[in-house]
Amino acid sequence: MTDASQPHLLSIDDLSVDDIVHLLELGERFAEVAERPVPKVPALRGKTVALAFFEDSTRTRLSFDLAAKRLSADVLTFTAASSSLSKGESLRDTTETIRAMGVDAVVIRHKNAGAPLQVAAWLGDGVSVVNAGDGAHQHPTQALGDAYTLAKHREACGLAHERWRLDGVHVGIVGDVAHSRVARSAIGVYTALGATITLVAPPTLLPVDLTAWGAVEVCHRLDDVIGSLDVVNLLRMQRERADGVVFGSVREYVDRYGLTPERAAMLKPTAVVMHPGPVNRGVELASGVIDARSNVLIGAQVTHGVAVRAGLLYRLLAATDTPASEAGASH
Amino acid sequence: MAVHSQTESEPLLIAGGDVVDTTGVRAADVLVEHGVIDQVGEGLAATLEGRDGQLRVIDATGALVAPGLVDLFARLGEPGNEAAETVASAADAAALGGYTAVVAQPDTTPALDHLEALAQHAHLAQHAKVDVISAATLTAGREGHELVPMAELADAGVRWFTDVGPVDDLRLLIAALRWSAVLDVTVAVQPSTTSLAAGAAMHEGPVSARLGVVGEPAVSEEIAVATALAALRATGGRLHLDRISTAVATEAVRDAKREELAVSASVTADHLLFTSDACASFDPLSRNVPPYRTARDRDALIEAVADGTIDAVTSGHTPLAPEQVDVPFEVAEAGTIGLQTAAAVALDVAGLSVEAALAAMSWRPAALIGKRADVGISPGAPADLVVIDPSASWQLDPSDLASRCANTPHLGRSFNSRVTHTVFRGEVVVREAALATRATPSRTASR
Repeated sequence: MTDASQPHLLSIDDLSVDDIVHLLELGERFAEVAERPVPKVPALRGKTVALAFFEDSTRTRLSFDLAAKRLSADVLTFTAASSSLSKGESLRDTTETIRAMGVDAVVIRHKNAGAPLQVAAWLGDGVSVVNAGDGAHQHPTQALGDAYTLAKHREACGLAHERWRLDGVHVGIVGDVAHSRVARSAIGVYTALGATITLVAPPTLLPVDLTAWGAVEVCHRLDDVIGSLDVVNLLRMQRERADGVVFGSVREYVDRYGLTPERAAMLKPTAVVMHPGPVNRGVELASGVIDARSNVLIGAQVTHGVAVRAGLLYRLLAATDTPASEAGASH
Repeated sequence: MAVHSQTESEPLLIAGGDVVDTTGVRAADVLVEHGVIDQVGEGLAATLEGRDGQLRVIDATGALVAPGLVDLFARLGEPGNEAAETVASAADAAALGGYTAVVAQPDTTPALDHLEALAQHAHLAQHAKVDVISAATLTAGREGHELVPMAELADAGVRWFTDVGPVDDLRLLIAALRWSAVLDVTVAVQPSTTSLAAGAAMHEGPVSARLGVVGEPAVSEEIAVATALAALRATGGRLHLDRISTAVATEAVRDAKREELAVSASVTADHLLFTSDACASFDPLSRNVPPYRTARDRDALIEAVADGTIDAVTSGHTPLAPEQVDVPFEVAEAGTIGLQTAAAVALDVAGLSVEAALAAMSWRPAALIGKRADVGISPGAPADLVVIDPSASWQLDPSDLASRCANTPHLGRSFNSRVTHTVFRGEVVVREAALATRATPSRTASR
């Protein structure tokens, strides 16, 4: 993203540490905008953002919608249900449709890994592409919002040593890592900010070869590691994975990997619980834990997701010589 | 100036090249007459000076002259996928790629699983610029339930049986291998384990882990190769392992040959070039069957071609229409066209000598489909020849493609070796790297 000729956000892996910190700082400015009586700035007036959601995701779509509107951008929304975008039309034809609409950015959610990268490659320069979740590949804005949430929480609790950094923080990513775009993006962003990562999953829900992720630790029982975690980042568990091959039953999964009240009691007092939502209550997270604990950050993840997405759209679309403060956002 | 009318019956002189065949490399001119090689020898051109007016001449100075290339695996599109390819367009592509014979895969729609379908296919190929050898399916409709009438088809001349994929039913594989021993035909199997390949779009490894894409593990092929070899050992038939991709498979084939089992193996040219890293940008043209694997696997494949463990390098030619590839990587059809580039790819592989590459693309596959390959370039041999410039620097341009489709990963790639001429049954079908539309100018005409 530092390269001006490629104004996209397709994968966390494309971002440098400085890029990530810059995006978190922009997110902070737009979080402040959200606090105002009129939570809107004119930064992207006259710009058009298309939301192309080939896969249903109300939460992420509304988050981008709100982020764009806070910046006064015009928003066009296409969903799989409401348009012909995904019905028998090739991805390449869809790309031509997007080009013909003359939008400034397109936010793409797709059930297939890599689809936003293919669209970006076909579009070439001129239209920014944002990956809003593609198959099991990446969900970079979720990870940026989560990193923002975590860093701000630790700052508020007096646990932060250096702004935005997560050095010494032990993050457990728990659950279906193999099929999770959230896990792939989270590993990238947390690693970049200095955190230590342990993947906690059954062997059948981990990729066979983890060498691409560098120094991540692996653990097959949540009990073995829970007492040392600063962050429990739970992943959504698809019930259909309990097919008798990947693992035997939902009960067996909850038994070893669910954050039950008993396990929650083993957490450090300062530890936090995160989840990208929507939560399968009683599977990855017990209802009692969600409702009882003050250090469950799921609501903050949603709020901050909007701010970080606004910061990203600003970064991609605002004139490069206009500082955020002059565009209406301030410290 | 006297206008000399040229006819294809005039002798053809290929002068000044290095002849490469089963006997090695030697400087020699080649004279072709009546569709067969008439004379071969160094300085032959000088002895023919007096016959200038009656000769068609290819100047092969600095070039290699080899027996025409033979492809054990090409999908020709027709019938069923004419939007992407026809027998005629594929044959043109094959000729441009230096081939004089291709084994047409029978996974057409409908499949080539009975005599009439094969006869119709032969009819489509009768004016083709290469010898189109139609394989038959192994099972009716490629459904994997019922063997085709192998004896009847073999009697009609079919030499190659394949479902163009794995054979899951081992009872059926063993029966087919038993028949192959009796009928002197080959059963070709693409070694893959269906339950392990399901839903996979690439090789399972660090790249698939990072991309979040389901991968087919190497063990899918390793298990299938071990199983097929065990079946072969039990039956004494003739087995071809179609398009292998793993280091372990090359070792298994090497051991089986040491044991003198009647097994052969092939690899596509592109598997000697690409690894799963090619998939990192989600380019649908980086999908293939089997998937591109690791650098270690690729190096083992190259070594196995060099030492003859892998008999044949194929084009893997798989024509696909735009709507089959301009879709998300995970749902795109796998495969690329390769007839026009396979030789250039294979000849550019470091670690593969010119002789080794040509052995795997010409005389070894020729022998596997029952052509006389041991005769090489010698008097009396059929005049199926290719002329290759080993120091041509060229790039593949879309306008060069004879195929109806363009699903190649090689557009814009720089190659060092180029097929300049293809001679099929004594006819110059490719001249100066283009399809010939008229007879080769004789020396008289060129003056």
